[in-house]
Amino acid sequence: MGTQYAMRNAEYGARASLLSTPRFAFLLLTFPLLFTAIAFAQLSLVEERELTLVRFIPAGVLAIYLLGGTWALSRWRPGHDRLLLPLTGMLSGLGLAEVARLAPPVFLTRQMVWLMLGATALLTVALVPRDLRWLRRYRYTWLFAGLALLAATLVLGVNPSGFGARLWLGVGGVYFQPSELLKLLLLVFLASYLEDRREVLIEVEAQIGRWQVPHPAYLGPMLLMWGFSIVLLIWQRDLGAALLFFGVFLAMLYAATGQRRYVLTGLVLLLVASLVGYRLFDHVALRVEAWWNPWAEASGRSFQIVQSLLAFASGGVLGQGLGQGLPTAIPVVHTDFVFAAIGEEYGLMGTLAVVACFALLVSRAFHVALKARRPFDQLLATGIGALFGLQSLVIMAGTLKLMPLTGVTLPFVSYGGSSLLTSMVMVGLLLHISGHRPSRSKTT
Amino acid sequence: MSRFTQILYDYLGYDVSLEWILLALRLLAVVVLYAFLAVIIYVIWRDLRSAAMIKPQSSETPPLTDESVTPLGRLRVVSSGDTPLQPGDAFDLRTHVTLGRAPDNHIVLPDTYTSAYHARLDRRDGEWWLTDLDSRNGTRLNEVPITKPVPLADGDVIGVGQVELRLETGDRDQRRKTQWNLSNSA
Repeated sequence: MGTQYAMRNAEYGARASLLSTPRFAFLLLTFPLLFTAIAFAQLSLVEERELTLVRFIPAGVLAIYLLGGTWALSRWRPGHDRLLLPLTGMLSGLGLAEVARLAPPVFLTRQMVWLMLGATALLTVALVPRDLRWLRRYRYTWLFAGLALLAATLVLGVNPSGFGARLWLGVGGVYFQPSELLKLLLLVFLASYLEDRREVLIEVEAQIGRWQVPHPAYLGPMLLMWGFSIVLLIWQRDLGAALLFFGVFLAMLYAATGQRRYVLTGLVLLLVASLVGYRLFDHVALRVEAWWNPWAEASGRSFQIVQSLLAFASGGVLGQGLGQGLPTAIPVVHTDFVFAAIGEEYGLMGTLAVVACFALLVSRAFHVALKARRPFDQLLATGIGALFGLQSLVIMAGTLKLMPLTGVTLPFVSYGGSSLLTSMVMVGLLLHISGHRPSRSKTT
Repeated sequence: MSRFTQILYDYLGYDVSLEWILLALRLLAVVVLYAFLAVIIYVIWRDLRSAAMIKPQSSETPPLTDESVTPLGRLRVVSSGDTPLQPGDAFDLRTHVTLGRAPDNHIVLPDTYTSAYHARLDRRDGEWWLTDLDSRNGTRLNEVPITKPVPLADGDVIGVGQVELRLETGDRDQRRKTQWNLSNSA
């Protein structure tokens, strides 16, 4: 009975809105598709001085995914959030264009394959399960699967390029980055765990001296798990992932309990961990120094960040135009530094638009969380929103020298199959939650 | 001159250099990007505005009976849980009342163990009926969890989360009717 009220409220909000009409969803898709087509026309004209049909294959792939996806979702999940697919579609289109621009052709083919895999996964997650109870129920399975993956990477990990952090698992020439999957698994675990323990985390307290703290019996396992995964990540030198995990963990803890002291404690812990990391680990100290004063070794260890800053500077307001700048001067520009390439070739206008796309994506994720009825769904959507927000901020700020650089991908835009696939599964989860009509049966 | 510009020349009748085409495409890309963002922001803004203009109360069903003007009883707070309410506070009851944590309930109970839309009181045939709205921790009537809608009598205590509320109808009519029913059945 109660669900009727929530449903009625939701429908009242949507009835006057364009957001509920399928025709509007298709109309909105013309923008990302047109943008992608323009980008590939630019590339074709710059590199071949011709318009060749082959060049437009990625735009076609994107069109199949977006149009087919919107059709399927409108048909079987009529309540879904119709802004999610166009927003991520715009970013994916930009991503395809940047991969084509910055990386060898074989990378583009691989990225298209991953995009189609991701689209399949997204639609499967959004359409097939009746609800997400199964995700919630097997939370310890997800946790241990994640930790096992991490351990496997520690032992068997490789780096496809032959040097640097060994964060990949390879099977027959296909490489996968487990920390991306780990993000998803831990999000699900945290949402499930926090939903279950929310009340005791708020209520049950212990006294340490003058301080009221949550009872260690309830917080302990979670802190232990987090300490463990963060130690492993530092061991693996995947600083970016460690930072993201911790930030998302704090955001979800705050969303679940509404207790500011958890966030404050967490930030203090993060500060302490950073200082310890700076003292103990060379690669952390290196990153901080390259951030604090890159010009000391502009052609040495800070080469990347200096080139990135030069790229932004030469972009100006309108940019050089796709294909007409020199972003490939930045090492590994197609993954970590794709934002700098956008800055050079699309200029300030392009970078601001990317920031706006991410801001809107995060706001839609939180909107989905607010409208969701089940606490698990709410927490999961909050976590996904926080992850997208933090991840894009960390890498954009890193390339702009606003904070020390940590290597994470810019979701949907950077080259990288694991990242694209995971991000699309997360969008699939958001679509599932937003398109879900609560059943009349008992939910708990 | 590339084949592409040659075709354009043949088609248009005058020479367009590749540089101008690229500049046009560049500007077009920016226009498409910002048109996209503008449409999305406009739609979200419209959505929020229309949601703000519809008052939650106005979306409720019309009164079940037309006794909506004078209060038909009170719910008096017996114990307030961790809500800011004080024992002794009272809510006037009209014909249809929802209780829960969400701000668009008639009676908002920001209690830890209360669901967003927890329970409902309806006026049916001169009596108050209590319905649990699939709440997580259930609704109690005089300490006993209810499983289906139940009619209430004056002085019944409703338990919602940690909050307890006593129904005060002060309704002589109802008592008289009950007595009449009793005497009738006797």
